[in-house]
Amino acid sequence: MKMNMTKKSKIAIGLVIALLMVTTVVAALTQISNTWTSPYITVSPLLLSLSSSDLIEDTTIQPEVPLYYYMTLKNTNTAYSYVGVHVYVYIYDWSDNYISLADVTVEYYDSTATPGYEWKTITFIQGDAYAYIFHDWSGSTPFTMPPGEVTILFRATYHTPGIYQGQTYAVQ
Amino acid sequence: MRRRRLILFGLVLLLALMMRETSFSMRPTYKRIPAFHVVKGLPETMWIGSAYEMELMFLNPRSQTFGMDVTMKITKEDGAIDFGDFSLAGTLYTYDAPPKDHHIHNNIIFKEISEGFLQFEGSVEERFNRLNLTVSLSPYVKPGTYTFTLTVTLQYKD
Repeated sequence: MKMNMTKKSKIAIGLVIALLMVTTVVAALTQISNTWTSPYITVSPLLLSLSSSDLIEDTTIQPEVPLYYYMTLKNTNTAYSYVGVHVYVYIYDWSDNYISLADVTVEYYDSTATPGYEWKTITFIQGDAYAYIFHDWSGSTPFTMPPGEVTILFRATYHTPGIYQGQTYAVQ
Repeated sequence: MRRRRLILFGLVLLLALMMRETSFSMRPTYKRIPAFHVVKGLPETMWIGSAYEMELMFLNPRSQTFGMDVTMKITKEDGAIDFGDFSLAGTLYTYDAPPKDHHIHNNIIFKEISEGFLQFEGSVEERFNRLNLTVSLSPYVKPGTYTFTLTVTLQYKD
């Protein structure tokens, strides 16, 4: 009986020490937390479809000979309302990573234009480190795309030799 | 004999008190992160195939190393979300005051743990933290009404 009591006491003391250790470890962990929940967000399908001329690749063109390509935008909004569109034109020169505003001229012709409409010249902006020039069709104000289709015809004329790559795209 | 019983009773009582204390301590203390502020949230309308930025700031109150767990849970009001519908990446800017050191962690890539549940685990030590996140919608996201819940948890490992 005496031995039994001593054993029980030892077990009890051991348990107390183990629990003290557990308590010390657990108490050292501190968590702080914050949650942000968005309001209900509507995810909508794109209302703009885009088609364009085939990719013009590895083509040798002569200076001052215009290169034509087109881009067709289709407003697929079933509500028949206008859609804001940003049109971007980027041109790079990979031959020496340098292009100036005088190296190329790009003009456009809008199929919705009224009779008598003339080609309009795109005003480019010099890009970073002179490696490219670019044009955001309408800056911060998007081009308002009427219901239906609009085809924009582009005419690019290169004035100086180089290895050029151009990108023309539209973003809703 | 009586004395031993008294000692044993005392020990059992102490054990009971310790168990109570332990169960209390084991509950993690969920306090708020100081200065947690969503500077830029998400727009109320998103377009499929597009990407949107959000920005949040928070303080590390002790300016010591802490484990950071960031989760984004996306739910659709009436339906399920598929793997890969959304992706989340970002950049963490951290610095101390006065700015002694400025660190940019631009490899904050979230893993999709389950459909619509994205997680990033990391650690930082500076006091001021700015997290810029980009939520990208795949072209296959189903139109509908969604809710985005972002949770940031900091855990100190003393």
